Amino acid sequence: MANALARYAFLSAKLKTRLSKELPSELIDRLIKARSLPEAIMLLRDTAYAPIEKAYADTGDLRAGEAIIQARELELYTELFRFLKEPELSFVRALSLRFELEKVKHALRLWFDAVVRKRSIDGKSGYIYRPLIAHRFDVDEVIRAPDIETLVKAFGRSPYAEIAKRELPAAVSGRSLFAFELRLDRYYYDEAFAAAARLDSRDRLIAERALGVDVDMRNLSWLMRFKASPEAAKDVPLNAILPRGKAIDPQALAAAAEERQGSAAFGPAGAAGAALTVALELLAKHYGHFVALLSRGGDPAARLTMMEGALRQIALAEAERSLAGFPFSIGVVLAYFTKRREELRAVMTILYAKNYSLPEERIRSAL
Amino acid sequence: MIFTSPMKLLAALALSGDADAIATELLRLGALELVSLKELSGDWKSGLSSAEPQANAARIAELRARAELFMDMAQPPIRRPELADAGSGALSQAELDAAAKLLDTVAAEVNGLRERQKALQDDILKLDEIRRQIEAFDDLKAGAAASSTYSFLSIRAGLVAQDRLERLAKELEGLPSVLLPSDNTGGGPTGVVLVAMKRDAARIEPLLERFGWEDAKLPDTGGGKQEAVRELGAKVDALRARQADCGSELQGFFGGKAERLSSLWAELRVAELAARLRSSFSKTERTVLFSGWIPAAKAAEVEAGIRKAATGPCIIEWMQPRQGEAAELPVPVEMKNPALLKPFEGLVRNYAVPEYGSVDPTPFVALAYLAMFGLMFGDAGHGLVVALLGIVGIAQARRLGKPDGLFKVVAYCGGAAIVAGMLFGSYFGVELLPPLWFDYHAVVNGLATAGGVRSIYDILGITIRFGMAVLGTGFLLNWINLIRKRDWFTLFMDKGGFLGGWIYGAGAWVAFYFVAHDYKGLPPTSLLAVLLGLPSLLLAAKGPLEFLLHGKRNAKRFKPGMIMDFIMEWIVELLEIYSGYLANTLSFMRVAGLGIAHVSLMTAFFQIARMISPSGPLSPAAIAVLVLGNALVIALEGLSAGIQSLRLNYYEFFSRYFNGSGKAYRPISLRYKD
Repeated sequence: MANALARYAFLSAKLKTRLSKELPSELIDRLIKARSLPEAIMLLRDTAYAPIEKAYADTGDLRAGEAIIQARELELYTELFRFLKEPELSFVRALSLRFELEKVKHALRLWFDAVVRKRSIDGKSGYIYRPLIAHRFDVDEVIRAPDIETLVKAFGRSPYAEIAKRELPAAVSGRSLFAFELRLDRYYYDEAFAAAARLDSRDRLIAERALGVDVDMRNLSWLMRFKASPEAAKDVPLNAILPRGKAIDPQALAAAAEERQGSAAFGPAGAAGAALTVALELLAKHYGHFVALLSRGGDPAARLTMMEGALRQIALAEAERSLAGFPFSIGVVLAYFTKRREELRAVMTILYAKNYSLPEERIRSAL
Repeated sequence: MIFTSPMKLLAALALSGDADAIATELLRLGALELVSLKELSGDWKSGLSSAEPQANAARIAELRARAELFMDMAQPPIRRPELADAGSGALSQAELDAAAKLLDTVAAEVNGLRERQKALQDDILKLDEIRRQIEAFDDLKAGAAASSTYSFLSIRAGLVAQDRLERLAKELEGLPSVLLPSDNTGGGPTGVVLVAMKRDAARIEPLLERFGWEDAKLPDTGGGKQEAVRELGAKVDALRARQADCGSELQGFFGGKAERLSSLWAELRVAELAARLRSSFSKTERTVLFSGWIPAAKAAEVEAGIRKAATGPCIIEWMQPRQGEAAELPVPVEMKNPALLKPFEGLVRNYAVPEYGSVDPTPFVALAYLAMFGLMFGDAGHGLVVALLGIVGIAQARRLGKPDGLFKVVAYCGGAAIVAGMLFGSYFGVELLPPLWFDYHAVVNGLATAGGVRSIYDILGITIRFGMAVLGTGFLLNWINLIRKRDWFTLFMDKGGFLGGWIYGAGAWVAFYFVAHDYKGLPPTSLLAVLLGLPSLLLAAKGPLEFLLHGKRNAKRFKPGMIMDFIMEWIVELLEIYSGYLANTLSFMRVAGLGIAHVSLMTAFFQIARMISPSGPLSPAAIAVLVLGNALVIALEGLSAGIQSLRLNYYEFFSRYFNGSGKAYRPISLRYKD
């Protein structure tokens, strides 16, 4: 107890103070109701999102503000490094890998578009975060690499070189980055769970629970993407499902498939759809209080959006639980990151929706 | 000023057709705090409905908020005009549509300009990308050969006739590219390096053909990497300047629309406030009914206003607070103090709003707060700095249209410190003039040999007496409140009533007697028994008496176990009185503590300065130490004194008498803030 107090007292107070600056729900409502993008952005002027307003006023480009806010988010992680000691430090470092992974994915998608799909990517790399996050590599070298060999070299000694070397040939021949991105996700969660395992028992439980919800979100999102892809009719590759999800993991899916059709795999006919249905059942089983939310909705697309929304609500509920409970644990740190991430996502979703003049109901359903 | 303003509850009935005019008049008068008729007791309200459609009020509020956003978009923001005239207070649907149309036009203009900025930003990003790629080349001309290996950059070297070069450059302006000619003194074709995006090849190739481009290997002069980067930088700067021009254009647009936006905002704001007022009106088929709290002093003016605004018959009734149908309604509290004391109302409200009808603590807080601050921060020089900071803050706040109450308090604190500094003869820690009361520095440094205050104990004694005066005032105010509430039982038997005051007064006298007798002698036992024993015993009767007086009303029945409860309550209350009042009084020693710390810090800085310049005039370094020391003392001690004064007021003074259960009076007016 005394140890936890010493480790988290300052951090807990600092993060809770910052959380008090989260956008009130009335402001989110006003953002949704704003009649135009400039009006919506003006509403952010006296908030933590003021840089978006400033960047937009200077450039007219929403992405410019988003890049600044993303960079600040990352700085929040790195800033916390100063206040943490091992093993919590390693855990937060592992969490910050999420930003680097996004950077790698972004760069690889641009490279893939330019080199494999022969599409123009002019000006699209402008807002990629270039400073060092965890591993040193030149993102511009990655983007302009003419071939896989140069690209692998561009990743230097980072773990992404090995992943690229192993996964990219198949990705290029299959013209899909699915497998590559899956490998990156797997790497991230391996690192995060390994770091979580070194935490003390209370923190480990909290961290694994939060990461488990995160994995569920990622697995669900992957199943949705798979269902929408041309490969949806093929067998669902269960090795694409990340392990350690709180509700969805490969074993749970296989067991459920076996129960339904006597085989530990989803057959070709409507495979992705069947897998999603099973995933939904697993989610309902684990997050009972969200069953009503998960089972609502008419068309499948709306239902899937709702499922994603429900999982985000679960992640936020976990965060609230951590904040309401014992304040001297890694839960406060995780809650802070979750809440900030979800708030930023909501703000940017609204602003991009305003940019495309989407109606209020559409925006609300996407939040 | 001493008590909160007496209020009256207005209940009025008028014809529906007069609703707009009455609402506007009430807005102009700015004295009515709305009360929904549904909150009044009585069963006559079932047939009433709201006089104002919610949708209309919401639409006006939305339009006003939109106008505000655009006004804030201007640099500097367009100021909200003063709403001196309420106008008609009603806007027709057509007027609201016109307002929406105007705001949509402004939004479209802003959007258009942002789109233009965005297009320029896209070009900047492309040029930035070219720059990043060029930087990756060691040698640009060598890169011309190697460019095919780079995914989307095309670098070509070639020759173009000198007289065609300028036109080629002009034609390429619309494309993200950089054209780098070599020096040409010979008059023949000029060597050129062209860096562009590969995807633009289809547009560039015919251009080059038209201008007679010939691919060639160039000599090693000109057209280098640095030049290309510089050229790109210049292009990016030009684009940024055009983006900034868009911003200026937008500001110019707002400049042209400022007056219209400003007047539209005023119309919408008045309409919004009037709609809000009307939304609390209830209506029958042909009449409207409304109600609200008004300070009794303004009742006649409001009644005359309503009668003037109503063209038809109008019935007005006044009700007293806590009586009849207003019995259950919370009465809003108006603290009415002279302008001089207004800033201190903020300090009181920051704690809580006093109960309706009780003593308004503002004048006492002002006096106690400033006295405490002065005693803790007694230096005329430091006070002058604080006062000036307050004055600058007031000017700044007024310029920005923000509340200036806090800065006024700061300025007053500065004034209090100046007065105290003169009493103690301290001017930036130096005795420029002889003290009017005692030399604080001399006392703290053990150098005082004359006068009534010679040691730190004397200073502690002063602050304890000061604390007793503050607490005594607290008792007195509590008694006044209880008498006004006719709460006789609490007045006589409570620890904050006569019994508590008796024990406190007697306890204080006994303590001084003890000190006066060198901490060795107490008053005679018989006297102690009368002074402290008797009220302590009388306090034991509080529980049983309370049960006898109020127990029956609450349908409580006596049980033998209650005797134990009475005894326990009595013991706890005795402990609370003796230890609590002692702690409350000694708490005022912090006033001396901070005052001593102030002097000690200044002494320390003077000693450091003298260590730097042991004799003669002070060196620049020593002066710097003194300046920094003074600044540090002003910042740290000023903050500490301010906080501690507040603490003593809130926790020692207010706990004696303050009942913060009131609700602030917020009349709807043209100056109403959401």
